[in-house]
Amino acid sequence: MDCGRIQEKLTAYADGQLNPKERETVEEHLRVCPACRESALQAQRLSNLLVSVPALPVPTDLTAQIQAAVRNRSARSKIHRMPAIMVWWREASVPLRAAASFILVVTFALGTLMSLKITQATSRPLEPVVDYGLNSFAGAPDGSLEQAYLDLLTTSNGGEQ
Amino acid sequence: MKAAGLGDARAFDEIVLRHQQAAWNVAVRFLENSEAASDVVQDAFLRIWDAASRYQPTAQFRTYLFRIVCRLCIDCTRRKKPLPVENLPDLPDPTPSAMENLLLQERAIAVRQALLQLPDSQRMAIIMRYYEQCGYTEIAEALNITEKAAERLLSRGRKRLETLLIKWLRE
Repeated sequence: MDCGRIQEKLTAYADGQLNPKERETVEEHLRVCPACRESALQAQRLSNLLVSVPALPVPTDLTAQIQAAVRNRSARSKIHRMPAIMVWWREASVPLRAAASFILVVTFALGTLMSLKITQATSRPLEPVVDYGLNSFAGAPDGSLEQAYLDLLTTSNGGEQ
Repeated sequence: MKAAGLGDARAFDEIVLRHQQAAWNVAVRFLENSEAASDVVQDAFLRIWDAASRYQPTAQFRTYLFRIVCRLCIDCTRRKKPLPVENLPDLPDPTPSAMENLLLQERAIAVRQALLQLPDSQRMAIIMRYYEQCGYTEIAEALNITEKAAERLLSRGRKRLETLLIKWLRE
């Protein structure tokens, strides 16, 4: 590999970002090329110079400022005030959600079916049927079995007047 | 982040405590202004909080944080001029000798001034690499570029710094 290619790789070499094969190629070249070796040394010196500058300490009140800002935002935000069921839904696994959905659908379907039956049962026109039944006994002679049955039905105390 | 996404501010406090130093380091080295850096760090964490319920852990959290900090820092420099390096407070220095202390301060200022002369993306790549030990992949993700482009940014940045800091590299 020529010096131009090696020079291109020196930053990555100094940064330890070359793969083992590339690293070996560069080191092989550096052993025989004083100019590239000097460039590599210069790259190392620059890295050392850069890292010698210490970081400024974090301001003491920064954490408190961020926390206060977050709480202030949180109080105003609707996103973070989800109902418990939505929180559960977000946390639940897919099979659990599927099972919950299935139970919900089945419960709803059964509920609907039952309410329909009850509606049908309560809204049946009973009065005409009863009238029809009673009318059919209307012509029965006194003392007949039909008349006795009619009396039994139309009196509240089991036929006793 | 999962707990924070559900509105748990205490869980988010932990994230702030764990990562604010890294965010601060990048912001203050890039902007060279404590007040602006504080604003950027606070804004970055607020944005993360706002988006916490939609957070998908596709990359390391630190990379996600750096991506936001980088964008805010670059936006900040486009909006206003940074303060000169000399306006920064004194560096904490444990060395006893006053002369050594002076020399270290002078060298630190020279490095900061040199960094300020780099284009934004080169400066950010250098800061992430040499002060936060980010790999090329992490730099590329934070700056939304390819790894090869990150390598080129670092290479060009270093070349420019070698010229600007030649005096300090000879010593």
